[in-house]
Amino acid sequence: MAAVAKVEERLAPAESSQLAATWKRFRKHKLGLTGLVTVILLVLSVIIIPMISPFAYDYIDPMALVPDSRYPATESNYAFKPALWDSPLSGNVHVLGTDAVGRDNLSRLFQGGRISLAVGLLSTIIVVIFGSIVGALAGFYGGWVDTILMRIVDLLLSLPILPVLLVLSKMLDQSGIMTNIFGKALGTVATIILVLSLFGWLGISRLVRGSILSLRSLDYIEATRALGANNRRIITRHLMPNSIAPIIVAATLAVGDFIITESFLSFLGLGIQEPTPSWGNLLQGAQEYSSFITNINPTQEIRGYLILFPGLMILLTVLSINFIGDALRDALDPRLKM
Amino acid sequence: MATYVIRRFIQGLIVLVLATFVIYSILVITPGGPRDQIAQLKATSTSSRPVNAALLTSLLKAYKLDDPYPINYLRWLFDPKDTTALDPNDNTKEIQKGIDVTIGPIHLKGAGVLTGDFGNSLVVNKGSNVMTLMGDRLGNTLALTISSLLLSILIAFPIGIISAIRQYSRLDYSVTAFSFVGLSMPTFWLGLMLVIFLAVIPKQIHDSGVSWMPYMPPGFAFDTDQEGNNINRIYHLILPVTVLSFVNVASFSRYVRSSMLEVLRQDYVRTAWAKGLAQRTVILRHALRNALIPVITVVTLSLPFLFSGAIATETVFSYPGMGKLFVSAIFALDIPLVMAFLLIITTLIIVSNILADVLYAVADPRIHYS
Repeated sequence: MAAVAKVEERLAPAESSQLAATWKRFRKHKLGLTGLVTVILLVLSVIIIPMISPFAYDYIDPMALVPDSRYPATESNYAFKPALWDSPLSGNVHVLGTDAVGRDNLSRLFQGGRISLAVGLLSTIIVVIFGSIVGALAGFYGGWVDTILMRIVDLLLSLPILPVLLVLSKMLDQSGIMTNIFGKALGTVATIILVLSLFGWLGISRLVRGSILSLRSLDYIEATRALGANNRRIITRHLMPNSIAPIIVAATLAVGDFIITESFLSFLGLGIQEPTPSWGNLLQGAQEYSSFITNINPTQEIRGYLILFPGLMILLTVLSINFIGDALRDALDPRLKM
Repeated sequence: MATYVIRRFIQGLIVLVLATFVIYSILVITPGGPRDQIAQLKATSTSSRPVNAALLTSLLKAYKLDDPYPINYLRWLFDPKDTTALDPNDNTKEIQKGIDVTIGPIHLKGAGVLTGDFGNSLVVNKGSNVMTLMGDRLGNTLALTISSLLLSILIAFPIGIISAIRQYSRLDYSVTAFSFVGLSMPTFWLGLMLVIFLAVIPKQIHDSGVSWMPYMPPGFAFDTDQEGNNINRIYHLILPVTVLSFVNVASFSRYVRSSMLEVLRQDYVRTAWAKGLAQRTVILRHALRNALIPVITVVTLSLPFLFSGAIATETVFSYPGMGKLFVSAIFALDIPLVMAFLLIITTLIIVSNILADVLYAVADPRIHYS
């Protein structure tokens, strides 16, 4: 064991220079760099803005519930306050107005960003860990372990994933089991992370298996084994680090996919639910327009910006993440280039 | 080849049987499913308001829940005792259902999912057969998905090919940028934006006196007073087809481009250029034919979604297709409807996987399956 560690120690400097080389190649990818900067800015803004905002995301401005004589009240939601609405008594200014309950739209937009990004990130972490374990076991041990695990993956991949996710989140939501465990605010968040992770690991496990399978028979693994390393050490120290490149790329792209799926589920009302905001459920209120079209009031103000911003945030985030993924693909392994 | 196809079909059947087991288990075991529904029904029943016995029996009967878990799955597949159903036209009479055949010494009688008996809808359209319900929506969905698939192929293939030929040109960069945006776009949001900015707001302007302002219909398959008018139907299809095609064009053009790039680098294409063949001949006759082989797979694998419809698009546009029906079934927890939908799509996915492999082999003589 000591011998293995010693040999590895001597080889260690190569690792850091590889990281530097990767960064050097990544930097050349202009769009990837732009994506990285955008994601960093987005993450910072969803962390900081809810902290410095004068209104908590669940603060109800009492004045918003009183009809405002300056704006024509509509029969459906007089509490919806338009952009740059200033509360006549309290003097509060709501930059994007308030929602039907009287909460500040801007605060909810960024708090929703926190939730959406956290869901994407957490689901990805779970999926990568679980998928890597399954893939590594299947690829390393081969034989019946491989057969059983990969048949399960094939079987689950033959299911229509999105429809199954919709059904599962509805049923879990109906049963209230997650709300009982995690509380009202986090229950639906936990549900969606669970549901997304349930099928999200399939691709990663196939990727890891394939990569381990191709590395397993190489000479350096044979050499490590001859030095006395056990299976666990071979997998964790020698096989996984060498198959990390495709995993990182797939994980990056998975974050974007999860954010989109989460927003769709929440938009339908099957994902994250009140009082917790997310980019998806902020779009929910907008849908009533499409069913109201036949008898829409000519004087009613239609606030297109209400659906513009949450959607733009999703698009911007996912686009940046996809650019990063593309740049990483080029930077980590030039052979993977499409 | 023939043995390969037969073997794949047998494998596919096994996967399908296992998939039905997974779907049944997901729907019956997950908290919030029929088991919980029944428990809730029983819990809320009091002596003054007894539980609705008919609903309870229909739930129990639909999933054979009176049996222990793995056995009820088998009975759900095929139940020899379940031979009668209520006459849909006359609720007091019972009629025969399922199959009643004799093959040699075996006499088969009964019904279940295997005989195509998916049961009746419990909530969405109470009492009507699930297959009839879906059959009614299929036409709308196919009109939407097939026209979108054809449109996307017509747009994506040429732009994919051209951007591969002129790699790193301005056009190529725009196509790549477009497909990145298309793949990062939440479809339902694109639909919402089109509804608001092309339908709702222009209609409002139109109604407030600007009569020349054109506006798009925001949803539904046709206007209520225009049933049977095909022009009106096409008019209503424009926005949903645009949304659906946007995503398809983004992904198809990317596949066509990368596959074309790969082929253009190969030696035989260089030989074709060296022979002095016209650009047209090299691209269309030599390169394209091979470049399309991987694309066949991508298009074939998208076939199941012709039937499942576009869940997001149909929801946003209130388009009465399969996807919308499925979403309403989920909201109502109408499990027989949900189950039938999932089973049909799963079957189609498995079949299209086999089809993709077979077509790949047919199109590419370099591939030999045995």
